[in-house]
Amino acid sequence: MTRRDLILLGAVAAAILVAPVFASGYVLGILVTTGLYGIATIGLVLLVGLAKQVSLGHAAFYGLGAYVSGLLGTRLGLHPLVTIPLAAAAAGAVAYLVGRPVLRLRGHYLAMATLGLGVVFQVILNEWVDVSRGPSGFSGIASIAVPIPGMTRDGRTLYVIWAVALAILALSLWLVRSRAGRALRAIGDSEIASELLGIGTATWKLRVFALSAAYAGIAGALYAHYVTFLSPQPFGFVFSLELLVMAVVGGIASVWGGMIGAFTIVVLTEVLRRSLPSSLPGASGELELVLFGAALIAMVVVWPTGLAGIAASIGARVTPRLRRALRPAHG
Amino acid sequence: MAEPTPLAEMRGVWREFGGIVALRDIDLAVAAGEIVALIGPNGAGKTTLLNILSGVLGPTRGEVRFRGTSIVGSAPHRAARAGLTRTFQQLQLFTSLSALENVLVACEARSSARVDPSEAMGYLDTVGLHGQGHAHADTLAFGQRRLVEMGRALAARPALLLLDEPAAGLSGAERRALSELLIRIRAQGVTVLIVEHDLELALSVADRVVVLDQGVKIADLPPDAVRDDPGVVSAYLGTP
Repeated sequence: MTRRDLILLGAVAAAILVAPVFASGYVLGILVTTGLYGIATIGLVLLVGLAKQVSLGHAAFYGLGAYVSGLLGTRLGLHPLVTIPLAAAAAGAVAYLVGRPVLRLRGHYLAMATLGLGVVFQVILNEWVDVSRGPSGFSGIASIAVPIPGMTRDGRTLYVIWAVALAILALSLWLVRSRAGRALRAIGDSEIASELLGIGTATWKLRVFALSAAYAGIAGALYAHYVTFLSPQPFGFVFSLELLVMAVVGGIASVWGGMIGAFTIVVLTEVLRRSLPSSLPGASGELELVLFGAALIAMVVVWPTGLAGIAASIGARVTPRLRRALRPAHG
Repeated sequence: MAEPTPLAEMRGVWREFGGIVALRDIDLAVAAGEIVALIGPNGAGKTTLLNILSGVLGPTRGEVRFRGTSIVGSAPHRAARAGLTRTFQQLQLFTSLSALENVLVACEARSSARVDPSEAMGYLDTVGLHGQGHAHADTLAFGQRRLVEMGRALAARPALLLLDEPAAGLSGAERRALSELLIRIRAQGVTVLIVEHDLELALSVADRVVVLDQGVKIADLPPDAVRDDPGVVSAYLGTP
C-alpha cells in the first residue's frame, strides 16, 4: 500500500463518516449499493485483472453469500457477525470445488464453468423450495444497522457496509503489492513462464478465485442484511455481467478501479432509470443492458485501463504542474 | 564403470501433432556440468524437444526424466522446483511487472523466505542490465527484454537451464556478451542446453552438439567435428 492509497482510504472514510449528515436517503442508498458492489468488483479485479481468469458467475457467489447469511439468521437465529463470515467461507468453498478441476487447465475454462454455476444456482434457488423458499423468497432477515440515535437506518447501515468495504480495499491494496500479488500478475502475464520458475499456477489461480468468491459472498451477505428480504431474481447472469462491466469500466487491473467502476455504474443505472422513461417511452431494462454492453466495448477499445487508468494519467500530468505552481518562486 | 545418472534424459521420445511426426524416437542425455547445443534447420523439432524436456508438452510416446524422476504427466512447476528452468524463443516476460519484479518473482518462487530486492538486482547486473530494474518489462528494447528473461531464469538458480534461441534479435555486441555470460554460467556449475541458430555462438560455447533434422537426431558430436560431418553438412550447413 502506498502513501497515496492511505490518504485516499482516509479521505473515503471521512466522506462516508459525514455522508449521513449531509446526504439524502436517496444518495445514501447509492453509496450503500456502491459499497456492496464495490466489494464484489474488487474481488473480480484480483481474479481478472491480476490472474486474467474470468468469472461469469459472480452473481451466484454474491447470491450464495446472501442466502447463507439470510437463512442461517432466520432459521437458526445466528447473529450476522457469525453468519457473514460463514457466508464468505461458503462462497469460497464452492469456488474452490468448482475451480479445482478447471483451473488445472490453461485457458478460459473458468468462464465456462462459472457460467454453468450461475445457471445451476438459479435452478437450486427456484426449485429447492424447502430450503430457499423458492421464487417468492423470504423476509425477516436481521438488519446490520448500528444503533446510533437520531440517524436514519440507511446511514447506520452505510457505516457497517463501508467499514467492511474499506477493510476489503485495504487488504486488496496490500495484496496486489505483496509477493502473492506479484506471483498472480506473473501468472496472468505468462502461465508457462510462471510454471517454469516453479510457481504452482493452478494453486494460485484457485486461491485467488476462492478469495474473489469470498469477497462476493461477503458483499451478498451484507446485501441480505441491508434489504432484509431475499428472492432468487437479483442473482442472475445479468448481475454477473454487470459486476464485470463495473470492473472493466473502473479499470480491471486497479483495486481503486473496482470501487470507481461500481460507483459509476450504480450512478449511471440510476440516471438511466430516471431519464429513460421520459426520453424513450416504452424502453425497458433491456436497453440498459445494451448501453452497458456498449460501454464495456468502448472501454476495452478506447481506455483499456479504465477510469482508474484515466485518473492516474491525469494525475501524472497535473501533479508536476501543481508542484511547480505551489513551489515558492525564487529570485 | 557404470555411467552416472544424467541430469536430464529422454528415451524413445516421439511427438506427433495430428498426422505430423515432430520428433522421432529421440534419445538424449544431458550430464551435469556440460553445455549442449541443439542445432538443426527450421522445423527440425528443436523447440518441440525443449517443450517436452521442460514438461510444457507431453511426449506422444517415450520417457522423459529429470534427476532420475519421470516428468511425463506432471505439472512443469515440479521439475522447475527440482532445478529445471528455461527461456523462450517467443519471449514470455511478465509485461505488467518491472524488470526487477520479473526477477524478484523468480527469487520468491524458489524460497519462502523474504527476498531482498538487492538479490534480484544482482541477477540483473549479471546479465548486464545494471540500473534498468525499474523499467517496465515491455518498455525495454528487444535485446534487453531477452536479457531480463535470462536474468529471471538465473534467479531461479537452475541446475539445468534450457535456452531457446537466446541470441535471436541481439546485436553483435549483445551476442558477444551473451557468450561470455554462458561461459560464466557454466563456471557456476549450471548445466545448459541451448537451441541456437547462430552456429558460431553455439559452437563456441558448447561441449557437445546435437543435430536434429526433420524430427530425427542425426548427430551428437564435439563442436569441432560438426562442420566435417557429411550428414550435418547436407542437412543443415549446405554445401560450402
